[in-house]
Amino acid sequence: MQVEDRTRAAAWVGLVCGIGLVARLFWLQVFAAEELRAAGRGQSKITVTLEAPRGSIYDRDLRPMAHTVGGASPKKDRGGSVISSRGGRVYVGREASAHVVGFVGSDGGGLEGVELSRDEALTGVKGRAVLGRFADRRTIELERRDPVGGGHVVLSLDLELQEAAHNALRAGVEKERAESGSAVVLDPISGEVLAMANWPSYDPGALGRSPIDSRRNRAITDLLEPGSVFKVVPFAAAIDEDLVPGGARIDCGNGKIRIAGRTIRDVHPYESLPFEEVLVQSSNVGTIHVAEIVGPERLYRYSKGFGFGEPTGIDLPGEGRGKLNAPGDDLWSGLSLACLAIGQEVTVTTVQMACAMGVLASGGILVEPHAVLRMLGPHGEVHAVSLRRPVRRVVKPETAARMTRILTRVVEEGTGTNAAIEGVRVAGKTGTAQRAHPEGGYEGGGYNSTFAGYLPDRSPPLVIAVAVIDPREEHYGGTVAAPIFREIAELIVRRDAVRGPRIAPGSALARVRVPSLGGKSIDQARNELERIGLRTRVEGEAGRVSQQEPRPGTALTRGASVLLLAAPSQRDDTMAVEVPELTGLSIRGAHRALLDLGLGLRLDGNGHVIGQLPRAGQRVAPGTVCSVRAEPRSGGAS
Amino acid sequence: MIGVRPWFDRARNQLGIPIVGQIFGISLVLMAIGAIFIYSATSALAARDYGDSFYFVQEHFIRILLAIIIGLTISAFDYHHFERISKWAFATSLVTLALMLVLPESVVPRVNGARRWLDLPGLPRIQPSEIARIAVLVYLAAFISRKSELITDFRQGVLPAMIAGFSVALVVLAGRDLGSALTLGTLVWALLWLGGARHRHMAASATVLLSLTAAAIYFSPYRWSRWLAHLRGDADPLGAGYHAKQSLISLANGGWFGRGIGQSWQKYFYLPEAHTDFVFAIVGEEVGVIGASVVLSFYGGLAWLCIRAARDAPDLFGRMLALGAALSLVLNTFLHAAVVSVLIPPTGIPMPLFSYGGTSLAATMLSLGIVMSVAARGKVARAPARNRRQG
Repeated sequence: MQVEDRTRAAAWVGLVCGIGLVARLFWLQVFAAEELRAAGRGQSKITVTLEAPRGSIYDRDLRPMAHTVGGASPKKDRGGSVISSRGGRVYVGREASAHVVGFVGSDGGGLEGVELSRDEALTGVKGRAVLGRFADRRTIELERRDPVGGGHVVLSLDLELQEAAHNALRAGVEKERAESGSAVVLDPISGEVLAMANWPSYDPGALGRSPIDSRRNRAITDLLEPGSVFKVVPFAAAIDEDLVPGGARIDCGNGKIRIAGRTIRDVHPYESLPFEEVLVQSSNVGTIHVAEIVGPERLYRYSKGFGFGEPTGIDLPGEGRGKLNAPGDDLWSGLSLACLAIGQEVTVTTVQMACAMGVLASGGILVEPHAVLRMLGPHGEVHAVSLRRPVRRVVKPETAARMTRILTRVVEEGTGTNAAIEGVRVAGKTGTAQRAHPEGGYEGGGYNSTFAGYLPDRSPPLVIAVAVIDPREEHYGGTVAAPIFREIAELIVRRDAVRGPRIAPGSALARVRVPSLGGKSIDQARNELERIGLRTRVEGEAGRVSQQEPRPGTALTRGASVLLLAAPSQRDDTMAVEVPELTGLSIRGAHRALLDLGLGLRLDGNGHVIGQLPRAGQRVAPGTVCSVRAEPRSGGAS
Repeated sequence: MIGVRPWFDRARNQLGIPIVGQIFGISLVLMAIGAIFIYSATSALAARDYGDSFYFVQEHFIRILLAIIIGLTISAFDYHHFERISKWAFATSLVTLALMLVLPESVVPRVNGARRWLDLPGLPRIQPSEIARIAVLVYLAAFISRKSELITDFRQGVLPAMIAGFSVALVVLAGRDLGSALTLGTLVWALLWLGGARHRHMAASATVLLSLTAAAIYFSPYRWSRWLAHLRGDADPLGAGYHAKQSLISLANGGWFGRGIGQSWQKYFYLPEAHTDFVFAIVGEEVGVIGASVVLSFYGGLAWLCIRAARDAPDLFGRMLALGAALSLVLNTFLHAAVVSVLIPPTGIPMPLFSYGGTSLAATMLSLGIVMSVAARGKVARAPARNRRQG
């Protein structure tokens, strides 16, 4: 049968064709597929880096000083490709706080100041999105790893005080046609820097418009000879060691003393002065005699004790250590003791001056200064708190008290009368140092005018140190630096009169307690705060309060603001974590345990954990701050 | 038919389903699988252009329903009735196709260069060449069975049949639908060969057929450029080679087992005609080489059933009808898959029972209805069950 034969042949042909087709598919889909798959991915997948928003920098009252605007969320441009912009950095304090806050470079990384020193914490973790792109250029998101925003930094700076210090310093420097100047306001108890200003300064938002020279944080980097301000060291040493009997008079050699072939003079010659009067009148000759009583070894030890010749340890980049020669060094000459006593042949930074004066203001203890108060996580949870770091006891409390009485007289009747404020006790010391000429010697090198002082009756007794380099109109510390001191101090006094000292313990003047706002709606929380005279700042999307800063119960001055972090409420349950057991852990261990779960730590005390809130096992939203109480273990236990 | 027969009969007996039911069943299975891929391939397009991702698949379901009705209705008739109307159907098809050449573009729109659609107002859009294929099939089957002894004669057998068959192919080609013309021409040629034409007549006509195809490609600029792009591989992927390139990417994405049903990435407007001329690429992408081979094997099985029906047909007319239907099915499927796997340059050939397109579906079910009619009257179908084993 011909038809059947041909049908069979045709069936075979069909079968062979079918097998051939399957083989072809096999080749295309399995063996030779990789290159084509790559081509397919290339046309349909886009990977986008999602920039993490950089954390903000706040002042001590959570007023923003530097923050990032815009950026973060990827936008589609007209070509259909997707970009994620970093956003712009806004510096609220501009020139006034430029040196402490610093700035970021074009790559978004910190280059100066806190932006540099806390760069790692401020920078978040970049995210990544894989977008599918259709042939008609629409896109959908296939895969996403969200960026984690950077943490925030709360500075100890007081924006208002910072601006006042900046303005006063700038006016003073410009008035005296000086080369530069620095001013530091320090809380000598806690070590918190409330203001740190330098002139010349720059606008971190417009870097091109100012010379690079203006970017130096001179208050911590530049070394200067302090002049008579340093006289407090030999006097404190003499008192602390009880070397001069009460009522003793010091020979002032009619304003002249000859040491190692050089003559050192006083501005106002005296034959002799009572011991305390030597400092009040700032007699060089008298001070040198006091220093001779103290002796070189002791004077060096006390100079070291006051923190000279070593960095203060402030948490800002680029700190200088200063030069302090030790007796026996190659550089120690017959003239050295006399020079050191009157603040020559020694170099200091303005912040060292402030810390040294802080020893006298705080009852004899040197503290390490710091400009960062707290480190916050991206959602405002507290990651780290800067604790007070006392360095050492330098002088006995009685010595500090007596020095304060003498320094008060300096302002009332001595060289520092320009620093006096009516009705308020001010302690301080002026300084006028001849600057070393670049070509050697002191002739024609100009002057440094300094003033360092404090408000002894205030709590805490804020220290203000001012240095003006090479003023051309006047040059005495009492006429150049003291008025700048006064202007800053006056603002503090005026503010205290209205609302009481900022951090004064026990002072209940015009202070209110922050209510607990967790879980309330943002509007509700805002109303509640407004009623008791507090301002509100909100971060995050609308929703309910997930975090607040400061925590409930904190006493705040009216007009201060409370930072509320809003979060959509439904997320809280699903992402809740269990609070771990912290009792017995070291602070480090507790911090680690909490960080691992995304919880914050608020620490009270130091040593090992003895109590915690919320209790272990309680379920809380991520970012919740756990209050932990710690106590040092008794010596035998460890 | 010889070696495989015992297996086939066993299978039939175990299933207990007559061959008619098997043909109908596999057709249903293929249409159902097809609908899934039509949905996958069109949901994005439908959502974008019509705001309803089910827009195309709903239309497709209605067409499947119509095709099933057509198939079952035809299978109920004695296929000998079709012999009588075959001349009229053939003539009507030829005239319609010829008329399409002169009708205005409002009625015969130009799509991708070809004018293959008849868009009469008030009627659904149809593709007359698909219907014409069935008409030619029936006409030639009738011709061969009528002149079975004359088929070896060139003048009285092969030539008139070829003139009739190729004239339709030429008219379709004049409408710039090379794909359909090629299928038609090959079908006519293969039917004559199966009908018993001499090999030298067939070789001569094959030469003519191939020359005509070559000429059709060479003298049409767009076909020529597609052909060149095909030869160059993936050169100029955004120009003439774009379809081929995207089809290859689809297949490559599939791998062994595919990206999963509905997971095609190429359907997001990269692959053109993803639901019609390139639907098999979506199959390859979503179910891989394994899934695609399974789908192909269903077509093989369906063709095999048609051949079984042909073997058991009571007369030559029925046998030629069933063989023609099998040929038509296999040819279309193979050419569609060949376009998708870039064995030949892109040309518009729908995948039978699968592709979105009512005329193709209806025509395929029409031809399968005829086969079912033949099978229902076959020797095996009418013989008592116990005798069949001895056969």
